[in-house]
Amino acid sequence: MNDEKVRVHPVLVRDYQRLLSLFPYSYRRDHQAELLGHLVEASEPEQSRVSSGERFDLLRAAGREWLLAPVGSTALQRRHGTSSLLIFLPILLFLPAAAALGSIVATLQFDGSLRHAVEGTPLAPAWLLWLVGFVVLALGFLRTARAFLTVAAAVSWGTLIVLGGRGEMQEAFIVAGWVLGQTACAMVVAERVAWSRTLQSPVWKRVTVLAVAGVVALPTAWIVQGLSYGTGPWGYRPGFRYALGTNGVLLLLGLALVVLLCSRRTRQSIPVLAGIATAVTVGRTGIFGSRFRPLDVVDFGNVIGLFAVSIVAMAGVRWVINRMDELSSARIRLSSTAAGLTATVAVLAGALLAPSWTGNDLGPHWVAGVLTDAPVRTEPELIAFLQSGEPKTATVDATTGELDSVFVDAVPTAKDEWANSSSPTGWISSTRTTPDDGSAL
Amino acid sequence: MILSALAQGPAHGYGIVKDVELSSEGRITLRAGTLYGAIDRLVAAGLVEIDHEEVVDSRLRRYYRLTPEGGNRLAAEAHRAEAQARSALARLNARGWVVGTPGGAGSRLDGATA
Repeated sequence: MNDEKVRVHPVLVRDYQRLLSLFPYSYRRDHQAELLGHLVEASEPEQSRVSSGERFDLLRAAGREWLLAPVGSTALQRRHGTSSLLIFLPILLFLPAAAALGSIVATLQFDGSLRHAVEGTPLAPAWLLWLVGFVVLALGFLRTARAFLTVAAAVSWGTLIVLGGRGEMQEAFIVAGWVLGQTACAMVVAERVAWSRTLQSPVWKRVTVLAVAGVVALPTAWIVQGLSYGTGPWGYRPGFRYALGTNGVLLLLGLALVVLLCSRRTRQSIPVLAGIATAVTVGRTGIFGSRFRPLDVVDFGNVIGLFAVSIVAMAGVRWVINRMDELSSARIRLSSTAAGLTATVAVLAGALLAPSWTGNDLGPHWVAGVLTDAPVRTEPELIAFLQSGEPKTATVDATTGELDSVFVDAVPTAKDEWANSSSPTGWISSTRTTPDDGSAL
Repeated sequence: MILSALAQGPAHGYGIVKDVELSSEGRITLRAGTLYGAIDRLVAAGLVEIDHEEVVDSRLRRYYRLTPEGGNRLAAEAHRAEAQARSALARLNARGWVVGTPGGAGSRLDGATA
């Protein structure tokens, strides 16, 4: 706003640059110069340090960018990614939620002790909150759902920390994948709340989407649990509750990955799903164990390692998806350039070969093709003739110069459509012939 | 607020911040981190687009403008807000309230202050 030259303290610029370096690369590539210019322009004349408000705002924005990085590097990717995850995450998380709560009910029926039930299924309180959050979300109360899901994620992290503090690392190692899943779910809904101010999608649409997810999720959870109960290579478990649906989860994820890859919109959800799948899978294998270090003595390092592997998987898949998006964009740009070029060439060729089309007379020596005789001399007549829908032949009488032959691959509806058509079948093949008298055309 | 700031023409990030601050009489201050997150979403939603860029005093300024869709959305929101405000004022008047200026106290016709 103020175009006057203002001397800015170099320490202030350095501090801003340091804060901006905390953002992910893709964000810095798009916004760093712009953001730095903004911050410097907004600074007070004698300001030499970053204010606490600015620092908090930038740190929060950087944290948000890092958290959302697996969903997408750009806002559009995030929009598509969160839309897909809003359907796929509930379907995925219904399985362990149903299993955990089922285990609680079974324990209560067995000895009636809530304490035993919760001790046996440590994530049960978090799952209960998550289910309530999901129901609220399905009812269309996005902000309330965000609160429930955020609390559910916080409770699941708290559970993980408590398990770690009590030395129950094996349990922590196993539930870590679902903690990640709950965190992703809370994050996705929080991002949708931010988008809701921009997109304003109708409540009925959101409700429909969530209802579909719920309707699909419940029977899927039931079927998959029935199919995979306690069998297969992933059957290893310290308690049967965690094996419920595990095979099904992996099978479902494998199928989902293939289907989701096909669409540019849905594939944005794959990195997050892949990260959760990695954590869940690693949590059920002895990948960090060895002959000398069996799985049942996992320590805090194993849990950290599990998260690290999951984050690496998310980052790797995100990289692949970004490259796929770039290829898609390049392909779209190429086809649109080719279409534009074809149209330009066609228009130029039309102008060169049939200059009389600017008027009503088609002009002499203009030949366009095949089929039946057609007594047309003017553009309207030709279009009417072409639209008549029957095979056509027209030839130019080189002596009189009258058009009487037309080759038609497909019948256009108007000259503009004809001239702008990029499809070869929509173009009337045309050529100029040398008349019998040999004069140049 | 951002759409409203862009309604008078293309503006860069800091220009938007100043406009929002001015039009809200200092009640709303957009921070840079928040602003560019919101602008990114508006661009992705097709409501705002980049107009042009320029360098002033070695600082990059990227100007944004409303798209036709963004203009329609802003108009719809403005009409909705206007209708709500009219409705609220009409109800207050119907109950005998004298509506004062923003920030000032209203009073009843019977002399009681609000």
